[in-house]
Amino acid sequence: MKPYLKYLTPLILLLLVWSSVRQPHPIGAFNYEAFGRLPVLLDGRIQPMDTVARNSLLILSSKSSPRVEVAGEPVKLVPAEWLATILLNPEVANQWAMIRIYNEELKDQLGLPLEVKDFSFNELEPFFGEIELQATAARQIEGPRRDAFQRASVKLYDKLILHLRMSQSIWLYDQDSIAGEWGTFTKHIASPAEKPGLSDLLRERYGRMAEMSLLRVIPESDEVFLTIGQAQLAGLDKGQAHPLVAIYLNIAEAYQAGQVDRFNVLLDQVGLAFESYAPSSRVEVEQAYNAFNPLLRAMVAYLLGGILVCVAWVRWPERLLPAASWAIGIGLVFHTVGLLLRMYLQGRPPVTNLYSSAVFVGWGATLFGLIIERRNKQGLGALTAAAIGFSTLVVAQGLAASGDTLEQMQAVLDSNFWLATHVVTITLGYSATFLAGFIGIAYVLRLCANSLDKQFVRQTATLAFGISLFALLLSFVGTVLGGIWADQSWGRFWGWDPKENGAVMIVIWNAVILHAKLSGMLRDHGILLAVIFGNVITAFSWFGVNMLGIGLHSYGFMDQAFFWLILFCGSQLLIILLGAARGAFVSRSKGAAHG
Amino acid sequence: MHALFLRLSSLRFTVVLLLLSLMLVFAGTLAQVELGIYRSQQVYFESFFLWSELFGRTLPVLPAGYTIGTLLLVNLVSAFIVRFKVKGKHAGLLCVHSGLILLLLGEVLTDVLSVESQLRLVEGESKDYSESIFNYELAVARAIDSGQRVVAYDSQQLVEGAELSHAEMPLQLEVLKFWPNSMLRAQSTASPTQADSGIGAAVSVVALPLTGKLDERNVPTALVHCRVGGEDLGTYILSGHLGEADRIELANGMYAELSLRPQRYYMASTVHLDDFVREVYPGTNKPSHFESKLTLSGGELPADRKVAIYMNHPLRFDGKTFYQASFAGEETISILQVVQNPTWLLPYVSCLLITIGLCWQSLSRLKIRKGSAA
Repeated sequence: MKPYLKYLTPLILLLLVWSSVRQPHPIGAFNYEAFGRLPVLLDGRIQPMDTVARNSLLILSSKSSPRVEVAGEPVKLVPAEWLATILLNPEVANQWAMIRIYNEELKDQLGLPLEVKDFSFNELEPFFGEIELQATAARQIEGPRRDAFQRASVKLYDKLILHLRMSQSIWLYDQDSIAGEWGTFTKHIASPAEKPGLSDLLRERYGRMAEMSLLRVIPESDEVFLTIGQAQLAGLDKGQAHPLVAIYLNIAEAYQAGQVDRFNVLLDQVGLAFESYAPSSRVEVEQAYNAFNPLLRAMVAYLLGGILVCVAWVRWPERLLPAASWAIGIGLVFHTVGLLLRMYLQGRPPVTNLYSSAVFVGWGATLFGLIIERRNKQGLGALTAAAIGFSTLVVAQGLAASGDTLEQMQAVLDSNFWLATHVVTITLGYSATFLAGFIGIAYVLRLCANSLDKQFVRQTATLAFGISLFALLLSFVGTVLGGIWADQSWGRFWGWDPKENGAVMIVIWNAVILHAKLSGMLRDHGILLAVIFGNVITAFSWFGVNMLGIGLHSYGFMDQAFFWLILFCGSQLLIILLGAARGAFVSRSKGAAHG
Repeated sequence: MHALFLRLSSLRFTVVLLLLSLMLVFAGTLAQVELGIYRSQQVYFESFFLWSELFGRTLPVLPAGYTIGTLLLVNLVSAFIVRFKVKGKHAGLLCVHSGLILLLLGEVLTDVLSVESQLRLVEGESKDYSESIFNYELAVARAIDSGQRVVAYDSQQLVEGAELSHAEMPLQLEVLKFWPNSMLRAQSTASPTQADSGIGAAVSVVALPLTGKLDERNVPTALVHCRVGGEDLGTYILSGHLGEADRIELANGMYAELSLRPQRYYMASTVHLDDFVREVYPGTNKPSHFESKLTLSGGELPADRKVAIYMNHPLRFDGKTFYQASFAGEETISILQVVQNPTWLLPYVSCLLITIGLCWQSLSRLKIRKGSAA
């Protein structure tokens, strides 16, 4: 026994929290943190600049902190730093190679080097017409039937438009100096009679800007924000410029000129302007959430916990198993914090889109797994908890690449009551089915490592069967609640919609396990293999039905997510086969020994 | 007899049936990619067998929804007869499984009995009927003193060579041709018209394959020859694409109107759309709220009634339920889904039964545990 092992848990905790201490921004540098805290209206909700930066970077470069070359040296960008640059000094951001293109056919078409992955806006601009042509042609085809090239063209076109609209959100950078144009504008609204022709010119210019710019940064009320173009048009109407527009332009000027102190002071001024503004506390919480990233911490804790269980099964189980449980418990705390913060930010129940369902499925399964671990203390519950918690968060990370994870709901889904009841139960049903399935996997792995005593197999099978029953209950109740919601909102209890079918398949499979056990068709070994197939069914109804038509029709090409789904399902089937073969071998050799 | 029921109620049979239904649901879901929800529902779930071309013949290859459902019912009912006992531990099981029987029956009854239609209203418009989404009817309207008299033929009656006549109707019609899904083109020498009279004489009909997609509709067209007594009145193209009815002048100032239109379901009252409201999330086009403000009047209503229909807030009235389904135009046209389902309560009852059963079951298990622990 190693006595120092008992310090393992506190050490993990310390590591995870310590790396979270917020670093104050270095003195003499641009205060990107304050910039990231500024509120902006995008996709129908007020969010901090920081979130805009992270989500846009994920879309453009698939990374939230890409590496770019600054003065010949590779630099890792902070999200807010990139956003500040593209908004305030677009000519620099346009040179940064961070727009990712994976598709080689598309690179061939454009004559770009195949070995380069990331390109700058300036490098791609000459091909804008060609890309637009390809994307428009691809858009004529229904989404699911597009091939890889067409899909990539549409994607690249969207990326370029996003980049362009971002870069024109604060100012149209075709003028030599911001101060000069601002001077003309203020002079004109002070005495419009002096140059009457100028009004039309300005209107045309700001009208174009109002159309192009993506971010709404000027608050008019708590809910409504304007783009700078719109604020300028309103300024022309009222004969009075919006003070915040002036500050934003000064910030841009300071940034371009490298005036750190002026930039930081001006940011403080904007911060003060927003102090009395109602949603700003939410915006601050969101920025803190981004910075703290509790879900990433949970992931690390689960990974550590899972490794500890595996080591514990080989050595020092008495010390390491509790340490593992603690690590996973700490992960669950981070996970819960993340979940609660997201609920607070959205003002909604936990599951509102595919991303949040992944977060919640993992949370539920980890919770159930830890409860089991408390009861039978063999590491099985802990390992499955860690494995599901970790993998669902990895899946969630992948899903986050498609945009804002706190997006607004479609009107038809806008019902907190049904989101809280139907969606939550059905998602917990996924959690329970996965938990049973992962216990089955753990069983097969241990079975392959060494032959197991009957007692262990019996206990594990009872456990898996019990969880499968629980899953049956949850998914059945969830499905029925969904039926009632459907009846309430469009007049039919059941419509054979793919998502409904997926839910009912989980119910049926768990019912199969129940009745097969009762009839004696499945015994301990059989049940432990059957629950693994539950993973396949759950994965299909969770993700597969959303992809119907995506992978199935575009021959020769598989969407990335579709590829992972097939890989997952295939691996599960392989594990079942492996378990069956090993089981047959073990029982035969036992039979031989007895005979 | 008892032995037979024992066999039919076997749990192994249950497992086999459940596995079959699992495969069926899976196949039926995948088939939606090709067939669309509506068609695949008919082929996989609302039929007895899946048919396939084998050895040059169409043969039933696998049991479909109705067969598996019936067998599950047989299996369950047999279990009721020979296995379940109405006491103690079995009471919960009994409850759960009777709930399941009701759920299965309810689904079949809904299939057979429920009628779905749409009510499409422009702001300021009133209607006393809703229209079918899938079915069309050939309507012959004749003016009478107190309005119109309408005789309507379901599109299923519109087969080639069918003779349509009715005591209430002065015209005799013969269906010369019927296209279940069609497109109309302006007639030209390259594509001449098939009709010689009416609005349809300006167009030519092009046959289209049937579609199962959710966002597309099958719009039929018929070519009809029209007579009154022995007098020939010409050949008409009647199509779901043509908005107007063909007016045929008859003797002594009378007339008849012919049209092929979505099948109508009349309501007890008139529905008037006062206002349609659509709200979006600020700065986007993503809708956050739809609402139709309506006035109901006439029929059995003693006074006008003002109602609002929005998401998750339908109107139940006249045995029908009205839902906000969609909208069109620039926020001026509201599309309501109208569902008449006399068995809508059944799933609720069955869910209640199942819930009670599950609670009973869990409680009795807890009791057993406590008993064994003590």
